Amino acid sequence: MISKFRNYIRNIHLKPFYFCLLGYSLCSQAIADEVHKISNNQLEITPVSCVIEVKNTPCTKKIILNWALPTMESFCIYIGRATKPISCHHQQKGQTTIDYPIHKSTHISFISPQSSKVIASGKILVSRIGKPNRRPKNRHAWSIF
Amino acid sequence: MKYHFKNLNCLLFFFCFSWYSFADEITETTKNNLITDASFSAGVDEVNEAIVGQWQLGIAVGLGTITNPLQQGKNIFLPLIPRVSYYGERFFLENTDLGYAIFENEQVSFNLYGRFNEDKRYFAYASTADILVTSSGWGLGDHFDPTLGSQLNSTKVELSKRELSYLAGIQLHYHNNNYNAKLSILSDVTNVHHGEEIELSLTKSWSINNFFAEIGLGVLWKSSKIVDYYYGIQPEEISQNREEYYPGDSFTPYLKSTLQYKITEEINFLTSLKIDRQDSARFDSPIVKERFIYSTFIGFSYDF
Repeated sequence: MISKFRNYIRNIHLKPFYFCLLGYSLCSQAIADEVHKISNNQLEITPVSCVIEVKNTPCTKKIILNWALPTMESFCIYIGRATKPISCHHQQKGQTTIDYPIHKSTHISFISPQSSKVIASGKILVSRIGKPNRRPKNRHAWSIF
Repeated sequence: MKYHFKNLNCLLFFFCFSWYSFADEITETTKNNLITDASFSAGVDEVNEAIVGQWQLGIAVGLGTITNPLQQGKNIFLPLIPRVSYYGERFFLENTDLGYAIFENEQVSFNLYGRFNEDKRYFAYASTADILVTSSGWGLGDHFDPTLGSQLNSTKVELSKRELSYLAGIQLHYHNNNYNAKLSILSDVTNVHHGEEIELSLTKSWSINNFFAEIGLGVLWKSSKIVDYYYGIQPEEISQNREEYYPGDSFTPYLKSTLQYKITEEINFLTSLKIDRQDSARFDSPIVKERFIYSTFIGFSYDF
């Protein structure tokens, strides 16, 4: 059994570069999500999701952020990839309300102004009524050859 | 049996790497779907778009054949063709084709992409598993091995086996108004032949009531390493009527079409055709007999 397993391992011939490239890319989202999960314990976002009822309009619900950080530190709140923060705080525990139009599922991050590190982050899910998330197919379903 | 395990390593690794991403996407998109599915109605472009987070399973039953271009090689029969499809937020799976969208908008996708090389299926020792992963179907029949000596002389000179390989790389996909253009640049990641493939394809589809039609054309470039590995003849492999052969790279233009008629929500009548034209690099090989490869299928598909 062990020798079979050893032979099996020996027979693995893979180009490390391509697999790393592929693997890391595939993992990037998973890693980001894992980080989000870990840090999410420190940041609670309400509501978790928002449903857009009218086409081409953003989610306009007020978003409440509750946080409890392990230590007292300064941070600024960023939405998505915005370069300017919504607000900055210096509190270990606290709550704030954001009134910000969100068009799609977006990450909300607490970033330290000193180190630029993400202290905590969470995600608000945005979906549309009448239109599930769709993606272009890579090929038609029964395009066999 | 041993080499099957080796060939499956690529897929296993790919699935392992992508599993977390996959699982997360399923969770997230299931949440989304719970919210939106109730209101989901007609109007979804089912032909060109996939619903994120939804598995699509199907099977086609009928008469399918891929002609074998090799000397005395028997045709590949495809009576059953399974289909497994899944699109996550970025990840996608179409049978054994795997991809991950680095960038995607309404018209263009830039993907990391992987698929099996198809050349292995023509060789006699290609098993059902080999054909399944390269042709999305089952192969039946006893193939004569064109690489195992010549039947015209009594001396059998065994050639080294051609292994199955998986290619991975990048893909640029343009999709707009029923037009699809794809450019894939792929390299062997299974350490079999170290070759590359570049494929450019264009397809146009129409969907009218219960009919769906698609026509396409493309060209597949294979590097000399791939062509030499599958179609070349090494010094130790020569026999009385088989000389050394070292092919260069090859271009294979092809035409393809699919016609589908929806009988019920689940059942479709289906025909599909593809014609590949091998260039001289492959056709001049001592083990190749036919210049054209015809892939055909006619039957019924069932979507679960």
